Amino acid sequence: MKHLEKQFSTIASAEHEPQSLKNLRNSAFDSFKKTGFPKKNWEAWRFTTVADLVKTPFRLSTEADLPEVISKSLDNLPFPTLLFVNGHYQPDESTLPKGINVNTLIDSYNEDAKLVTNGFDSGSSPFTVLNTAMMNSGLHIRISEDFENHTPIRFLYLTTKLSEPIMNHPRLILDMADNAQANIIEEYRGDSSDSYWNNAVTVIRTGNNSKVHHVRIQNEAPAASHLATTIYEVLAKGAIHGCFISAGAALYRNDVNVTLLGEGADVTLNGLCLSRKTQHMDHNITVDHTSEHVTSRMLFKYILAEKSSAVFNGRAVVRSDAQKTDADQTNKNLLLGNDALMYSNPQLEIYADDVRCTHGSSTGQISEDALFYLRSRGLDAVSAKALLINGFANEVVDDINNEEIRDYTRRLFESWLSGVTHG
Amino acid sequence: MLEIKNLHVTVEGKPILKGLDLAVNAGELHAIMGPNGSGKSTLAHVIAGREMYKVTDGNITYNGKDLLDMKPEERALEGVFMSYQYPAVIPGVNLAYFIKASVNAVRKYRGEPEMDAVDFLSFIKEKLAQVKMDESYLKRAVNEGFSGGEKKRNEILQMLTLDPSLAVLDETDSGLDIDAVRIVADGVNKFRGEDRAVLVITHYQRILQYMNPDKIHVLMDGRIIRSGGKKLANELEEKGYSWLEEAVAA
Repeated sequence: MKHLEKQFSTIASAEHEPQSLKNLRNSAFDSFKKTGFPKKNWEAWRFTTVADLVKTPFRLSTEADLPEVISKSLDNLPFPTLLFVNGHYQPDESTLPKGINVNTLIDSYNEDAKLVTNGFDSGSSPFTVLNTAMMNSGLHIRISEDFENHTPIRFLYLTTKLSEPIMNHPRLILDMADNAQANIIEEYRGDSSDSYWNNAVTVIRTGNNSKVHHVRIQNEAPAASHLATTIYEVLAKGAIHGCFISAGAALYRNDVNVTLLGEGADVTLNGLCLSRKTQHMDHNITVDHTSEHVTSRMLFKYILAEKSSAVFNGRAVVRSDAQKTDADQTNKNLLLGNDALMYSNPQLEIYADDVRCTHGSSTGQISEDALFYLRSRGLDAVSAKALLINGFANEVVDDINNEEIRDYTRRLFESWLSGVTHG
Repeated sequence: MLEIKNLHVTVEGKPILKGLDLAVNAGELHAIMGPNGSGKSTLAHVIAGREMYKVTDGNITYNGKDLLDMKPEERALEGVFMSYQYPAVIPGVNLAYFIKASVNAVRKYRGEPEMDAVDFLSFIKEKLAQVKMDESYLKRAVNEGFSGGEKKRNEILQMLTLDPSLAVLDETDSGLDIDAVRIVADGVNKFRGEDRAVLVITHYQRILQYMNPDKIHVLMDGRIIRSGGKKLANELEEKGYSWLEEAVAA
């Protein structure tokens, strides 16, 4: 906590920030100090430990941490990309499609503090609160009805090789106008072989009848810690289709909080969680149904190799006003190693009487019958196994509506799979 | 083509096959008949190479090679095909992708060029028609939601696409209505040829009416207790298996 306090004092004394923002940071940090880092006896953190994170003296990244050359051509994807390097937004290296408006968090905060905060830190995770205290890189995006939704926009957070452990607390806020539509990729990647820490908060708020496809790709460097809070607020007839792909980081945890606020609001939460070695991944999800005729569908698939471990905590809450709610929750897990560990806990909390809710969870290994079937048709054992694992993942990958993003995700999955099956 | 000598097999320590002898030549179709629990499916699985079936004695040669020394995929690449009584479901993998992968594995092994998507499509369309399946199956996950009859037709489809030398059909007729039995039998008859052999494993003689078996063997308690021509099948149909059981005991 000592080194965090020291880091906090550097950001709290920044000259360009208005006093009200400083006050906000101070009160959030006080609140974080009171709760502290999550402990084992907290229900939501029973299977996930942050001990290594607490031990490491991370410092906030500064301008000096920017590499001399920022290679824009990280890959040859056609997506317009807003690039962040080591926590710093790179407007000169970014392409902005028509119909979106980009503001720094401070500008939006000055315009209306609620645009940036609006109670996000009242949630249960101390990391969300810490993000409010320390947020050091962030954008507020408005997407208008004129935006051409067939072009995906990517937010790419890149961490390069660094000489000491740095941390960043990025906050990305997307506000959709009524009837607007968008395809969003939020991607985290790292080249560093040393540890670094990203503590990200992402907020997507729909307007009435606006539709968002959000693919979140967590592919951090192996020694990284990636803590995240994802907040969706869906208004009447709005829809968010979220897909959470994760393959990177030593420790990954995402608290996903969805509120279906208006009649007919709809959310899909899909996940493909790929872990190996001693990686640990954790999704802690709450979908709050607060209005009539809302629908939610959750499908999280985990593939655990070697000695990795993972957690799925999925909770659907149906308020008494949310009659005619239709909610499905499925968690399926494939264990590739005898030492892999999965904790699955789907939960329903229903306070309305006229609803349809289902939930289910299954964890298993590759079917010997299926493996033999494929081998007896000429596929060698490695290819047969890869084909079965592919089949398991396809349900999530195929559900990504945009072809380019789907192909991009499939390539990422296949490269992970070839690492696992070929050792 | 296939020669089995004194085959002894155990499953989870329990003896199932107890000295089985069988020889099938190229161009022939043999039927193995027998009551439930006689070891019919075990024989099929041992030929295909399932690890849980332990060979404790005897040997199997296929085209002069030691079959038991080969991995399941090597057997398939060498031209051994097994049609399953209960084919596995492969969720998330569509039939076209799967068949193309196995066809190309076989072609590669034979030193033939792999098929591209266009060649494969015209190739598979022709085979689909032979077993009266429409193209919509290609996009479906392998055997997922398939009825019993669809699964069996899918097995015959794969037999026709993989072009094996030896086809072992394990209870391919069970649970099928008469039309489906005909489709399956037609598929097998189209497949037959001078350099191919077929081993039909069945409980009932019904499917044999649509084929022309060269030999019929009765498998009981892990051994072949009688071999004969088509007449033997009719006899079994009339008198059941108990008649033979008594005859052998006497």
